[in-house]
Amino acid sequence: MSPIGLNHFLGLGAVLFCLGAYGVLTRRNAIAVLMSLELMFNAVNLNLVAFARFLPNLDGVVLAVFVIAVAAAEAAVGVALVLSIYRNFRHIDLDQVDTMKG
Amino acid sequence: MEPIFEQFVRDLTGGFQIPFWAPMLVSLGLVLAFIALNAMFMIWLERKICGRIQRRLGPMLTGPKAWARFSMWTGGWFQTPCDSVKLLLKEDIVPAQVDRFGFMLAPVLIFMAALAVYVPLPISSTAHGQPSPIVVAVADLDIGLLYVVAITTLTILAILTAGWASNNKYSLLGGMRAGVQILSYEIPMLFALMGPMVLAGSLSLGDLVLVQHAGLFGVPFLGWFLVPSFLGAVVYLICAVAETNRPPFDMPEAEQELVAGFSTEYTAMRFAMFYLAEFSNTFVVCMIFTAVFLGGWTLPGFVPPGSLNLGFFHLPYFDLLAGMAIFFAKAYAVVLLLMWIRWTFPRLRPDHLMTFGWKFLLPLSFLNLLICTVLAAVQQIYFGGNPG
Amino acid sequence: MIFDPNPVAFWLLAAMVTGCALAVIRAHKLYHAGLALVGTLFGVAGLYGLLQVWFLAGVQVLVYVGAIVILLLFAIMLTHHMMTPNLKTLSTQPWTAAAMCLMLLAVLLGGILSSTWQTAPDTTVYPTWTSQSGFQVAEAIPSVKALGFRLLDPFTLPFEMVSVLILVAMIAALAVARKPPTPEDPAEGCEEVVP
Repeated sequence: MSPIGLNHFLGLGAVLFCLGAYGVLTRRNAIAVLMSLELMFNAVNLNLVAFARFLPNLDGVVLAVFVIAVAAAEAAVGVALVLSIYRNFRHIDLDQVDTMKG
Repeated sequence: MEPIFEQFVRDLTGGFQIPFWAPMLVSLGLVLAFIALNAMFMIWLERKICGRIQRRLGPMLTGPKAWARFSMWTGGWFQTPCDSVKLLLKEDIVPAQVDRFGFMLAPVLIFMAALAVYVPLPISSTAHGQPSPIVVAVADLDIGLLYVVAITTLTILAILTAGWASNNKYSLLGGMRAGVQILSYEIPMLFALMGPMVLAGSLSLGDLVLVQHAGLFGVPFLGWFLVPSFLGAVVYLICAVAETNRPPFDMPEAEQELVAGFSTEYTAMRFAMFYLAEFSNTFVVCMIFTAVFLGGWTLPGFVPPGSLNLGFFHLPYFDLLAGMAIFFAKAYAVVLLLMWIRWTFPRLRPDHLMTFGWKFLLPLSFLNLLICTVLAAVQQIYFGGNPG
Repeated sequence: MIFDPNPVAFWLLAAMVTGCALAVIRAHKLYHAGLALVGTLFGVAGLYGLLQVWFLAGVQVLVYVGAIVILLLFAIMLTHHMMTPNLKTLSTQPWTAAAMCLMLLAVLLGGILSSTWQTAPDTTVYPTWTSQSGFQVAEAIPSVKALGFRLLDPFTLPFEMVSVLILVAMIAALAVARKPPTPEDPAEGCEEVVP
C-alpha cells in the first residue's frame, strides 16, 4: 500500500466537512443539525492536527484544543436553545420555527 | 508489560523471540480472567460484609454446612458460583418493543469500557528504586490518567443507551438519572485528580507512583499524595462511589422507585455484563485511588531486592511480586472501605445528590487544586523541579 | 526516521469515520445518529492517535464523547418520544444540497491536490524554542509537556479568553434553558410542588 501523507488526512477532512455540511443543509431536526455541525468541527480539527504533525508545527494542536473548547461551549448554548425552542413550539423542526414571536 | 514479558519468555525458553501480538493477547486474556474471577471474589466479599453489617443469614450459611461451621468467613461461599451458573444458563430475552441495535450495543459498550480502562493501570515494577524502573502495566500510557477518565465516560453512554433502547419508562428514568449523576460527579473527580497531576508533573500513572516513592520536599514519608492532597483523596473517593452507582448513590437502580433502573429489561448474559462491569469498575476506581493517592506498589522507605535467595530455592522477580502483593493489599483495603460505606449509609435523594456534588464537592476540589499548586510551586522553587 | 502512519490503520479509521458520518446525517432514529456520531468521534480520536497526538485523542474522547454527545443525547430524550422515528428527515431540496456539497468537495480536493505543502521530510524534532521562563523545549512527538508549555507561553491570552468564553457560554446556557418562573409554578426546589 502506498504510504500515507498529509494529503490523505486533508482529503479525509474535506470529505468529513462536506458530509457535515450536507447534514446541516438537509436535516430538519435542530439536534441533528447540531450533530452535523460537530462533524464539521471535527473535519477542521483533523486538518489542524495533520498540519501540526506534518509541517511540523505544534501550534496546530494548540488551535485544535481551542476548537474543542469552543465546540463544547457551542454545544451547551445550542442545546439550551433547542430546549427553549421545544418549550415554545412543542417541536424542534427548524423549518417550522419561522415566527418571531416567542 | 512487553519488555518484562519478552524477558520472561526468553529466560524460560532460552532465547525465543515472541511475535509482537503475543503480549497484547496475553494481556487481554489476563485482564478478562482477572475481571471475571475478581468480580466473583468481590461479590462474595460484598455479601460477607453486608451479612456481617446487616446481620443477613444467607451469605453466612449457603452451601455445605461444614464450611459454615468452620468459621464465619468460610460459610456461604456457594452463592456466587451458583449465581454465575444461573446467569449463564438463563434464557436470553430481547423484548419485542425494544430498539434492537441499542439494546444489544449497550452491554457490549459497558463491558468494553470496563475492559479498556485496565490498560494504563500499573500494578508493579521491576528494577525497583533504580533510575528507570520498568512499570508493569498493559501499557503505561503517557496520558494514563486522562485515558482512564475518558474511557469512563463510555459507561455513561452505555447506561443512557440501555435506558433509552429498553423502551420502558423506568429504564429511561434510571438511565437518565445515572447519566446525570456520573456526568456531574466526573467534574469534581477530574479536579480532585488534577492535584496529584500538578504535584507529579505527569499524567502517566506509573510516573505518579514513582514520584510518590521519591517523596515531597525530599521527605519520603510525605510522598503519598494522600497527605498533600488529602481533600482531593476524600473528594475522589466520594465521586468514585457515585461513578460506580454504588449506594448511597444508587438512585439509578433504586428498587423501590425504578424496578432495576436501566437494567430492568436485561436478563441472562447481558445482565451479567452490566453486573460484571459494575464490580470491575468498582475495583478499578480502588486501583486508581491506590496508584494516585496511596503510592501504588511502593511503601515509604522500602525497596525489595530484585531476587530472593531462600537457600534451597532462588526466587526471581521478587521485587515484581512484592510490588504486586503490596498493590493488591492496598487496593483491597480501599475495596473494604467502599463496602463499609455501602452497607452503612442510606440512599440519598436525587436533588440532594446534585446539590452535594455541585455546591460542596466541586469547590472542595478547587481548594485542593489550589493547595497542590502552592505545594508544587514550593517544591519547584526550594527543592528544584518536580520529583518526576 | 520519517513519520509514516500505518496505511492499514489509516484506511480502516477513514472507513469508520466516513461510514459513521453517513449514518449521522441519514439515520432515521435520532438516537442512532447520536451513536453513529460517537463512532465518528472515536474514529477521529484514532486518527489523532495515528498522528501520535495522544493527548488530543484523550481530550477528544473526554470532551466530545463524554460531554457534548451526552448533552445531545439528553436533549434527544427530553424533546422526543422514546421510539418515534424522525420521519421528516430531509428538507425539500436534498438534491440541491447534495450538488452543492459535491461542488464544495471538488473545490476542496482540487485545492488540496494542487498545492505543495512545505512538509518537512524528517519530523523527528519539532523546532526548539526557549520559553520566557527559560525552558528548552524540543520534543520528538507532540508530547503533553510540549503542548503545555506552548499553551502557556505564546498562547496565554487566547487560553484565558477561552476559559472566559466557556464561563459565559455556561451562564448563557443556564439563562436560556431555564424555565421562566411563573406565579403558579415556583421554580425553587421540589418541596413546594403539590400533586
